Amino acid sequence: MSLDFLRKEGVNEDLIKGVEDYQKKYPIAEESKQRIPVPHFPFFGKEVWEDALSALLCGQNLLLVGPKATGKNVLAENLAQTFGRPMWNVSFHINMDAAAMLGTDTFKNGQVEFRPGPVYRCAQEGGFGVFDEINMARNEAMAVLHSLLDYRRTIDIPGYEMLKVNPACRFIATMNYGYAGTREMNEALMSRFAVIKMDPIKEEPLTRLIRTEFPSMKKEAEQAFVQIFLDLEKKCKEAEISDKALDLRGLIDSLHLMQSGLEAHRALAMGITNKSFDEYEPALITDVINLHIPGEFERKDIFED
Amino acid sequence: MAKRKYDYKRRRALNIVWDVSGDYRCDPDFLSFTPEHHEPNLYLNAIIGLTYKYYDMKLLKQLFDELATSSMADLFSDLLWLGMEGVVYQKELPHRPVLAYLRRQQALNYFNGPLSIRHGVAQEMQAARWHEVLGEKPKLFDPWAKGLYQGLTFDPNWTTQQICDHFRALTKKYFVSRFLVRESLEKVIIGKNLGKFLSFLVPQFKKLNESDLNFQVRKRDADDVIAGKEAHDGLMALLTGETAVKNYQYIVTCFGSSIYSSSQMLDIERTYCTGPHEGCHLHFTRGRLGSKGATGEASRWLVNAAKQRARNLNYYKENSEAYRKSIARLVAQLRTALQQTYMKLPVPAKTGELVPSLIWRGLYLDDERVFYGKEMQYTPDFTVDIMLDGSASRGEYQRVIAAQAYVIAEALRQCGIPYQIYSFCTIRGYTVMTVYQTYREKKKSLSVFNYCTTGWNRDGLALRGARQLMGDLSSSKKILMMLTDASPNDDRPLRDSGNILRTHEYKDARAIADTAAEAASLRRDGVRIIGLINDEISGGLAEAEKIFGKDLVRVKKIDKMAEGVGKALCHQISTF
Repeated sequence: MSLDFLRKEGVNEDLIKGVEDYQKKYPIAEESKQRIPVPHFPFFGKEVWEDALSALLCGQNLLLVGPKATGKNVLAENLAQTFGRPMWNVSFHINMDAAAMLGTDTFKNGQVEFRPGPVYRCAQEGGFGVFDEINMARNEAMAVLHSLLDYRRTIDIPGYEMLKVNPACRFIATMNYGYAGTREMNEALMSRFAVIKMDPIKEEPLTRLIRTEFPSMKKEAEQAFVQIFLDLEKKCKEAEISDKALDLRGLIDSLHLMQSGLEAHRALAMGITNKSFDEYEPALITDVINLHIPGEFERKDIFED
Repeated sequence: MAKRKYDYKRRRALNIVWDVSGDYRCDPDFLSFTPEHHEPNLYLNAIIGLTYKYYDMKLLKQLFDELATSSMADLFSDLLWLGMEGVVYQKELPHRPVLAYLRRQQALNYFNGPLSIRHGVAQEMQAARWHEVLGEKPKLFDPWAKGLYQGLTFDPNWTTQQICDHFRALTKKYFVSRFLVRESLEKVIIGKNLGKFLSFLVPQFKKLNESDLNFQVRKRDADDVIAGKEAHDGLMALLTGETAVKNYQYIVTCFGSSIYSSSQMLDIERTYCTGPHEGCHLHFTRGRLGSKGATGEASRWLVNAAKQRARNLNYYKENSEAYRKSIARLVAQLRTALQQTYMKLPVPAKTGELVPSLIWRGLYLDDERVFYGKEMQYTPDFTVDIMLDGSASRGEYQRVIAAQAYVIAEALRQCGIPYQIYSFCTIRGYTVMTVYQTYREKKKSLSVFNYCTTGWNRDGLALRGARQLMGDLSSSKKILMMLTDASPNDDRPLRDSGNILRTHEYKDARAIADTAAEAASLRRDGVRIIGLINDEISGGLAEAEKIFGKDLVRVKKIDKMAEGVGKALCHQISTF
């Protein structure tokens, strides 16, 4: 996000100055610019912005903790863009191992060559590395990152040279916690991060998000869609439904479908309801939707233009 | 299936109430279903939820309870709900514009619905309301009806108390007051049959107790603790006179025949009933229900066991919402942990770990697959055994333990993890292992509700019995989850391994040490053991820790059980 956006959010001016100084200190190479993310959504929330900027300016790694749809990845993208750094995203599914992160040997032209992985390149080029769902990683996979994430800031690849991490480099990890089905993160890894606990998205930022994306939406409709999401969030927290329906991207996608002319219930079915394959759950989700928007709710009922 | 469907409809109706009230703890006395298909009525359940949102339900419940004593209970409760519909609609509409649409749909559905329900005062009033909603005249001609209808328009500014007072006055004015009627006029003017007839006029709002699937919390009956202490006392009385043959017959009659042949049992006892358990017996059974052919004490035990099954099931149904959530949470946790059980299989690949013996292929055959990559394969190569302490000391908590075991079993079933459940108790020298479900069975473990306590608990021998039931310990990884109070106790002595003539009582520290030794022996053979302790046990967990070490879960509340059990199971799964 632009620094003007941060000023509008009311972020502390010293921190904004800190970002400016960082950008001057670590200019970005032309060939790396294409990796600077362009977030689709801005992240709203002054306190979270300030916490995150403070930690990153101090050279710390950041761990964003929160349930689904709290904007963890949106914030990570926003941060990389604000600092003007290329970003590498590593999704920690269970199959991720050290080789997939750091690099692996390949055989080319009769020779074994090292092919660097995303974490290696990020450390080398001074990027922002995003470790998505870090608590899903196997402990043995993460152990190789310990030296990278603590004061040593080095990676030793057996058989190759030791890499010193570029001083501009920062790592941002995300993890889902607090909902059923999440795992604990091991203490050694946790101690290497400054942690921001992110609350489920609240009414006000969600409204702003929808308003930013759909400026022509009628207030009444906007309120209804916000409430649908908040009600589903609550239902999910109470374990009445699984978190498949708690899909902010799905809601936004549905609204785009409505903008293109599709009737609201059908659009929400595609974006939200149909994502649940449970025998009974879709009816519970449909009830929530019906308790906020009338049948045959169409584009003209939703948008001004 | 019908029950399951009904449960689901009720759950859906409850969810509508929770959606609009925002309070997932509320347990409404009223839910609304459509008259023809008995589907949850979206609008009327929303009205119930909104009443929870805006009004003091304690006061309203008092009023409903008061009305319930009248012979026109359903009529009055319908009228009160109609009044509430009008007032909560006005309050909520500015925040929820869709309500206008839903109300209109409700009105249309009412007139499109079955004619058969549209009789009586409550329906007349309701019809008037829906006519108005559709922009028509209320079609009330009689001044009495007009007046009553007018009286059902509550002021949104009234408090709950004011609404209650107003409604009491309204019923007094327009109906012969129940206070006047009850003892005298009721029998003449509104006799019981007329009252019943009025109640029969199919109210839209159904009372909670619409079927036996809804249960009020009942006080524990005096004979709640069956088998347990009674059988225990009976045992003490019988010990002196009963022969070994009679003891065995008693065990078979009460618990069912052995799942093993006589020769197999002989081998098993030679293996396991040794050392400290010399002279004791094991009995493995699938259990038995029904008292056909049994007499005397055995017959009483079987009858009580059948009653206990009903009590266990009732308890589960009463708390089904909480347990269903526990299952859902546990399933989610287990599924995450299961991802850890993907195994890596080496396959030739273009990247990965270099295999020198394959390099020639790269040089001469231009095959770049000179590395070993890793292919992930899902192999749930472990099983879970759930062993319930079925001794008399657990008598008070039988229903809770059965429900907890069912929750764990159901979560395992939904995750496709092979499991088996059994309980153990010790009586007349036999440690009886009652198997409710085996690894091979895939159905829901409803038989665990047969769980019924009696006798002593010789935990050390029970762990040996579990070893037998687990089969070959080298064929797959095993997790044994033991629901227990960690207080082993038996009337048969514990043999001293150093001196076969010397015996000790099987209780306290010696029994704990024996159980801990058996648990350690299983651990040495690769079995992971988790102790699940209900919060009801007195004192600390020091004794339990001697048996289970850190693999101990103390369940304090139902809603926390999944978290504790899930964490313990996931830890074991992920560290295999």
